[in-house]
Amino acid sequence: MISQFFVLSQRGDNIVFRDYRGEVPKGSAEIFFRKVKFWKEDGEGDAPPVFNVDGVNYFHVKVAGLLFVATTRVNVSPSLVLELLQRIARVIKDYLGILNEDSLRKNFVLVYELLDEVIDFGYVKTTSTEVLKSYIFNEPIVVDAARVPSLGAAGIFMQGSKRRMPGTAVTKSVVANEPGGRKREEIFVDIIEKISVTFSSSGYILTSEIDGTIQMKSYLSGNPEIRLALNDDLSIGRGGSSIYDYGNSSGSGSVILDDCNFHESVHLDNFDIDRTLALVPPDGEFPVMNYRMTQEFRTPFRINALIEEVGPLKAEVILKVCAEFTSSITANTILVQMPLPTYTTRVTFELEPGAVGNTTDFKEANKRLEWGLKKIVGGSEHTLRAKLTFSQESHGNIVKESGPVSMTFTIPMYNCSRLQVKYLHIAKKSKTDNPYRWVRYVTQANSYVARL
Amino acid sequence: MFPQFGATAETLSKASSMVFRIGTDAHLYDDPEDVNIAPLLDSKFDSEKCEALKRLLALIAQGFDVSNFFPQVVKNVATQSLELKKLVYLYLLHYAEKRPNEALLSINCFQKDLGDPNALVRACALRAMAGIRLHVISSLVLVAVGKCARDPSVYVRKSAANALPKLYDLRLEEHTSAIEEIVGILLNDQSPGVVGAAAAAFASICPSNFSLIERNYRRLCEILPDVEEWGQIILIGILLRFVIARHGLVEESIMFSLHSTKSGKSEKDGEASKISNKEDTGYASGNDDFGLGANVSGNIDLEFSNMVSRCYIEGPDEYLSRLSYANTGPSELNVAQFTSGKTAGVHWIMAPRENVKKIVKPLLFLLRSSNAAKYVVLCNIQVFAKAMPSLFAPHFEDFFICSSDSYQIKTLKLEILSSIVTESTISFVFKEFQDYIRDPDRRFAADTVAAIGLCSQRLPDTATTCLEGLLALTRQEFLSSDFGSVDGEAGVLIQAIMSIQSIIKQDPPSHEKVIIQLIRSLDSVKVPAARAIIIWMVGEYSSLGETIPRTLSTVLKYLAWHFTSEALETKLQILNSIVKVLLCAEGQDIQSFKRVLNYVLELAECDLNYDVRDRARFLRKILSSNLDSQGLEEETNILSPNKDLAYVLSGHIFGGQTKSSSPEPINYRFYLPGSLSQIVLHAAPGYEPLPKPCSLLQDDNLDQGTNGLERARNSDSFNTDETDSLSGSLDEEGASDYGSEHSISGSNVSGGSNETGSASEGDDNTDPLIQISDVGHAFENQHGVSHSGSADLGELISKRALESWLDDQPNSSNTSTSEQSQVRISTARISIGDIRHQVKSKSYTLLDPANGNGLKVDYSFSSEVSTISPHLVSVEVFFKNCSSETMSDILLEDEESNKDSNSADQTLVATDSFLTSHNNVPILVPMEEITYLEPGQTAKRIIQVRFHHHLLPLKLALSYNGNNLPVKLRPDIGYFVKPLPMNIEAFTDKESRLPGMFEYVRSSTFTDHIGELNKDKGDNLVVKDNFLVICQCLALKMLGNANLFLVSVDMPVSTNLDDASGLRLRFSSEILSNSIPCLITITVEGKCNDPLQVSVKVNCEETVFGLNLLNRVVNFLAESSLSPL
Repeated sequence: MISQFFVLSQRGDNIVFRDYRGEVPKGSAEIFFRKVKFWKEDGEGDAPPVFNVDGVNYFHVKVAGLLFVATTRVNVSPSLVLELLQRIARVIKDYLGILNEDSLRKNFVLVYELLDEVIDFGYVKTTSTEVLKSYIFNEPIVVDAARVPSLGAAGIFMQGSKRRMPGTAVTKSVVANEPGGRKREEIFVDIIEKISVTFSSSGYILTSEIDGTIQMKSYLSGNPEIRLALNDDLSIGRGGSSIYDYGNSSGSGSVILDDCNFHESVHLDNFDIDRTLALVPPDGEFPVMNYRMTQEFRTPFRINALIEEVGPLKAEVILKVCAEFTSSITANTILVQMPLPTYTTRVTFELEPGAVGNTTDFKEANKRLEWGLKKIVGGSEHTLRAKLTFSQESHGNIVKESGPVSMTFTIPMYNCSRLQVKYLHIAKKSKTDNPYRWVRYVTQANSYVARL
Repeated sequence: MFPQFGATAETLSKASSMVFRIGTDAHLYDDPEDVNIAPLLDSKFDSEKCEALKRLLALIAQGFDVSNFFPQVVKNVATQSLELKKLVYLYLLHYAEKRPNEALLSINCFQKDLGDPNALVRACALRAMAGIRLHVISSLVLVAVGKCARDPSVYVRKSAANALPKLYDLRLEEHTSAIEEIVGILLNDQSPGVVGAAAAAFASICPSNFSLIERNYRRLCEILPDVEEWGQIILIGILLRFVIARHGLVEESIMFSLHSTKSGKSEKDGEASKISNKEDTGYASGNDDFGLGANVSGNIDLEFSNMVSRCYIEGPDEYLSRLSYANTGPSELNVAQFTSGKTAGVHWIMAPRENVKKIVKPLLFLLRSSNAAKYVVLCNIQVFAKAMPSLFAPHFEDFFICSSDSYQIKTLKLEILSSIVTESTISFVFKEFQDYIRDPDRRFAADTVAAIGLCSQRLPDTATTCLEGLLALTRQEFLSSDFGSVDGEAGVLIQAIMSIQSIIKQDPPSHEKVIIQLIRSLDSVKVPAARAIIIWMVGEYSSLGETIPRTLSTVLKYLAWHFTSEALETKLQILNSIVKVLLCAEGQDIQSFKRVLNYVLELAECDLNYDVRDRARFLRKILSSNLDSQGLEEETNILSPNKDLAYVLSGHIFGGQTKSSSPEPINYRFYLPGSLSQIVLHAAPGYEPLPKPCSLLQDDNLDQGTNGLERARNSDSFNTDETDSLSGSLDEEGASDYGSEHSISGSNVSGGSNETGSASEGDDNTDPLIQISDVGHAFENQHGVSHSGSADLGELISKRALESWLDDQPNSSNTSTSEQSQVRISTARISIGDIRHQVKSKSYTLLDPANGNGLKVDYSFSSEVSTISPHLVSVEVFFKNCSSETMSDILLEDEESNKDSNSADQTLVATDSFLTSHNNVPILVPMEEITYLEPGQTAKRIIQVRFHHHLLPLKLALSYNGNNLPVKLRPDIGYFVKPLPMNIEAFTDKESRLPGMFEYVRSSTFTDHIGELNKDKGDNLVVKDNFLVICQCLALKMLGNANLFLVSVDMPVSTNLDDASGLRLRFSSEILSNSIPCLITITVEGKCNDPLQVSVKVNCEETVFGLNLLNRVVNFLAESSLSPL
């Protein structure tokens, strides 16, 4: 059981504070914040999600820039508490539509009411948005979504792709009524994939992995049944590594997942036959399916990095990034990083002619080169030249002194695994209304590293 | 889930949104005080009250103290609006502990709400009431919780379960058993939601009360998959503890063989569908089998043992299927990631070795969830991996570091990697490590180096490769450390040398060259800690091999030369090493070593640091023989014992100096996987290690259980045979075996009826009652036959069956009904006419003659009703002059003498209200003054007190002879009532109108009658009826301690002569102050000559008063009367 729950802003302000058992001294929020903020000076980097100060155990997760914290004195399962914090954040988001400081403040009565139903005397009662709906009386006050940059994986759909998607949609509260009176019937299915790839110095793929999830957020009234059809050639379990061999062996071109799991509401009666998931979506956002894939896939980017000495105290770095996807797709918010030798003092950059929206930086403190690109269109190739000046002679081995090139990016409407939602069927009562269905794909880099 | 709530909530929220569309809550938060809150609170409109409360909550949220609005807010508790109610509750709970008195004012409203038809209202009221957490009302809350635990609504029952820990948290010893009983009831609930909450309550209230679990074990296992995830994890933990306490760990358990065959079977037919269905159909079919078996045999023992063994086996298997689900199959576990984490822990503890494998995949899947969870999962994997490396060995790639990992995760992964590497994977891992060493985060690089050391320790074959790499690293590192001077680099270097050291330690002779290389590098290694380690190696391995001894003199000279410029730790290490070298040295080198040592010791004795100086002096003393005996070889030989001693001594001393600061000192402390303690590495309060295996004593039931176990095994084999349908003959054989076995034990018919009783309980709570009353009727009939009192065999059997049934499921409601059914058998109503005259009222001492200069004052409560006002209690006060002088002007009055009689009278007339708290102090109508009291004379006066239901002693002032003495008058709640004459019909009618909340039961023991009965035996002339004696004793006791009216006495006729069970006395009274009737029923159980179990029931509308009265009655019944009547 937990003793307190509170939400802190990034500045350390108390936004929500609830003491359930009165076992932990009042100043705990302050102690916690100081500890987390100055953890670096203890030489540890970020604070671990669970730590203990003076007999009080602090658990925290960071959601949308807010710190969700629980404290307790007694022995509880840490993963349970961390999960609880995540769930609380999700329930609040379901209710408020958008999760940030402003919306929390505007809806504090509702939030307190929610917390009252979720936790009682430190014990968890329920965290299901669906169940909570019956006990909650306050109405959420919708915060103007336009002003707020949205966070989270699905948030990237708001950037630059307004043409396709109503930007406000995902920030809608699950429970609130639309100002117009009638709720707009729509459902969102997001396929979010995080990829981890490590290239060897010669450009081969050492390890590659896709960590994917199908997320659903339903605004449909009357909880109709939904059928979600995935690729026909989808198979689960690779080689003999799994006891559960779901059908055909790994033929070429088929999508083979290493393993996956499903939300409890999903019925898999037909999954073996035609790869369809049937479910009655509960309110709120939830993951329909998580999956993992280590099968080889086409990596979206190729990275070439070259570092060579050009003089006694000088070297040149050439970074080349090739986008290997079709030109109809654009990757955005790309950041390429590369640690340089510790004795680097100065770096001058030379961008290719006509480069727009590029930023380059040399972080003096940790000797790191950073190259940011707003977007990369599929099929294109970008190069950066950097001239390094050293404070001392290198010993002929700059390559060993400089670290691997890592890259982060997001690519909307693209997924590496080729897992697809073929159709989304909503069992509806009348033929007249046709709910909006949004199926969206996104690929993010989790760890995209090229070694030198 | 709760459609009716949904509907209410919807309409309510619609209505409230209509009202509140005007403005948002935000302005309330930002500027809560722009309107005066007080008038809003008093407003007629709920909406305005709501707004005021929201403002208050905003102020609370911002950290202001708004408790001064408490009285106004409390008033609003009676509102009809649910939204307002919830807001009020929020406020109340926040301040209840600060303002207990005002909070009590809301209790009546809560009680009213507890009877509300809307379940949501009931649940809210219960939650708020339990949340107030005041000792004063704890018994009320307990009653409320008890009632709500039997509420038809799931939500209310769940609230009751949630309220239990709050109640328990008040640490009221006297309620513990009652609370645990309710936990038991709730654990037995039909709804998974309630069971989940009850499990949480169980875990925090009575985690070791396994008897509660034992009763419901099978059901709990069955219901487990349906329990909400939060409850599930707790329930799993409880069941695990129970199973261990009951059966011990798998290997040593009697179930072990059974278990292994079983799991073998499930592997054999391990087609996916079978396992995937296990949870539902598999289990259901298991049930069917048992249902069949139970029907055939009708034997409760088998059922029970089956339940235990089955669940024990099924339990883990069930988890297994869930887990394997989580990883490939279609299932739900992804949401409840922590559940699978926990389950993994269960497996770890419970499952046999080959089954533990199954936790790997789910755990790895968890790795890919959020960062926070990753950390926790890794911590657990680390524990697993250390204990059982083979488990994760094939998955080493999953622990390769990602660029997005945080430092903690990286170190954890490194540790796991280093403990799971194998011969085949080491090359891959080392390749990775080579990249890690170049990581810009030098701390991480240092950790990697340490990990390399660990790897090569695990796999000695790789030691050479590792050493080469590490040596290269030291060369490379000190190059950069020359100018880098970064702490991180030093760390890497130290770590590298430490790793080398640890590798060498494994097999020193083969790494001679490495040592020499290191010694050579002394010149370039600048980091003190690293130098110290190398110097240590010089000392430690000085006699190793061929080359090292030859280099020693040069090395020592070099060290001596550099001694002054070294850092502290290096200096100390140099001293140690030279001594070690000297002690091991042979031949002509000794002389040069001694010179070196002398030189260094001299330097050290003048060192700035006192540690070094001390060390030097110490060494000189201890080695004096060695140092002085220059050139006297023979002498050293003579003094060899001495030398040995010194050697041993120094060996001991230097053995302690090795300073292996390897990074895993505390990490090996073991806590249960999945617990908080395991992560923060200290025993958090509430951390409980696993119960001792097999600590739970095996009671009779279980003995039968073990017998049945054999049968269960048979039946299991039978089942397997059937499903596999290997051969018909086997099948038959098994079946006949099975059948015959049960036909022996199945002769017990009543067992069958029990069977149906417990089975039907599954459907409805009321069903078994009917069943029981059937049994009761049968019982009655038998009694009718054997009325004479000679118990025949059939009766005994059925009775025992009933008892065993009750033992099995001591569901309190069942017990009470069965009692009733027993009582109903036949009773005779008698009247004890002259009892009134025998009543002696108890007298208490107000003033001891020793304290009062010879004045003795006693008092007793009078049963007479005051003539002045019905609210007054008459107290007879007896004054006795025990001294030899005459006393004068004796007067007993209120302590506050400023309050004269006039004002007292006024207040009496003024108001009856209890809510006007100012006048709510006890008031005394002063007595007539005693002008003179001669020695030995006694005077009696009557004072009349209005206690206002206060139970604290009333302070009075006794004045006589001009002195003033403070005395204390203890109120007796038994006299706050007056007799209310009525007949039995009126009584039962009233009683039936005061059910539920207004009925409280407690039990007590009564022993007074024993003395009385023994006395009769002594006379032996007139044998009085035992029952009559008991009745009289009870009635006298009651009437002697409280002002009651004896309505009726029911006496059992049919039962044995010495069984007083069923004896029942009824008393009626009404509360003096408000004339509310108060009914007391006393039911007796037990043998005549033994202490009797007395259950006292009070029905009263005024709950606080009723409970207090009940407590009083129970107390005085329990205390034995000292004066025999």
